[in-house]
Amino acid sequence: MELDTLRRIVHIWPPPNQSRNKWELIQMLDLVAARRTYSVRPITRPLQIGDPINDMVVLKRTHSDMGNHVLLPNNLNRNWKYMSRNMEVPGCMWLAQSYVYTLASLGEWRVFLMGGQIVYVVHTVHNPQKGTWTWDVPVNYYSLEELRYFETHHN
Amino acid sequence: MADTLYSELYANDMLNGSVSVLNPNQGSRDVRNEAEAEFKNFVIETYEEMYAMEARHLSGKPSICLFCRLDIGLIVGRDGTVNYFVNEVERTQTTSLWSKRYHAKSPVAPTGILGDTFAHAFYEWLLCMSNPYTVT
Repeated sequence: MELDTLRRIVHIWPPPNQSRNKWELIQMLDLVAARRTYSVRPITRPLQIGDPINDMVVLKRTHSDMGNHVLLPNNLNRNWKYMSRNMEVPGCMWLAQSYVYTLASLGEWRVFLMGGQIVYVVHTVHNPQKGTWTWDVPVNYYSLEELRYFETHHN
Repeated sequence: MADTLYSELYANDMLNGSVSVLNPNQGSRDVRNEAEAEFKNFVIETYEEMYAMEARHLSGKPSICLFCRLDIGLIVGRDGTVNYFVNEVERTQTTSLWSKRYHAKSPVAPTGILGDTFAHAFYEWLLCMSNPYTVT
C-alpha cells in the first residue's frame, strides 16, 4: 500500500507532507531571523555540480539526517568526485554554509519543545580527538553581552 | 556588568584549558534570570514565527506544535555582537534525546518529564486531528 493511501486510513506522525529539506528549512530560519529575532545567521547558498568550493565553508547535503553528509573544512572528501557520487536521493543538492567555529569550540544547546513549551534543554560539546560527545543540563546562563566580552578577549 | 563575571569567564578558560559557556557560578540571581530569559525568549520567538510561517503555508497545524528540537549555537556578527542562532531543527522519530548518561556531566536526564509531556501533547493532538466537529 502506498504511503499516500495509508495516510487516509491511519494517522502518521510526523505528517509526511510537513517534512522540510535542509535548504527549505534554512531559508525559513533566515526569514525568521530577519523578521522576528533580528539576529545574525550563517550565510548559505546552494551549489551546482562543479562549482568551486571555498575552504572556509561547511558543506551540507539536503535530504539527509542525523549529521550524515556534513563535510567540515578539514574533510578530505570535499571534492565533486565524492560529492556527486553521494547524490543518490532524487532532488537532493549540496549547500555551502559559512563555517561557525563556535559550534565546535563552545557547543550548542539542544532545546526540546512539546505542546509549544520548552520541556528540556541540554548543552552538548563534541570532542573531535576522542570522537565523543559530552552533555550537561544548563542551570544558569551567561548573557550575550558577557559572551561578547568573552569572544573579544579570546580571538 | 560586573568585572568579576568577565574575570570568571577568563579564569574558566585559563584554569581548565577549555572554554565553557555553561553554568556560571557568579552573578546575582537577577542577572542570571535575565540571561536565561534572553536565551528562552530567542527560542520561543523563533518557534512562534516558524509555527506561524508553516501554518500559513500548510493552511493547517504544523507538527512542530507537538514536538521539535531546536539546536542553538552562538555566532559572532561583523560588528562583534554575539548572537544565538538556530543550527538545526529536528522533528522526527530519529531525533536524539541526549539522555544517555555515559558521557553526561549531569547525573539525571529528565526524560521522564519529557515522556509524560509528550504523551499528553500527543493525546491532545490526536483528539484534535480526529474531531470532525471543530476547526481548531
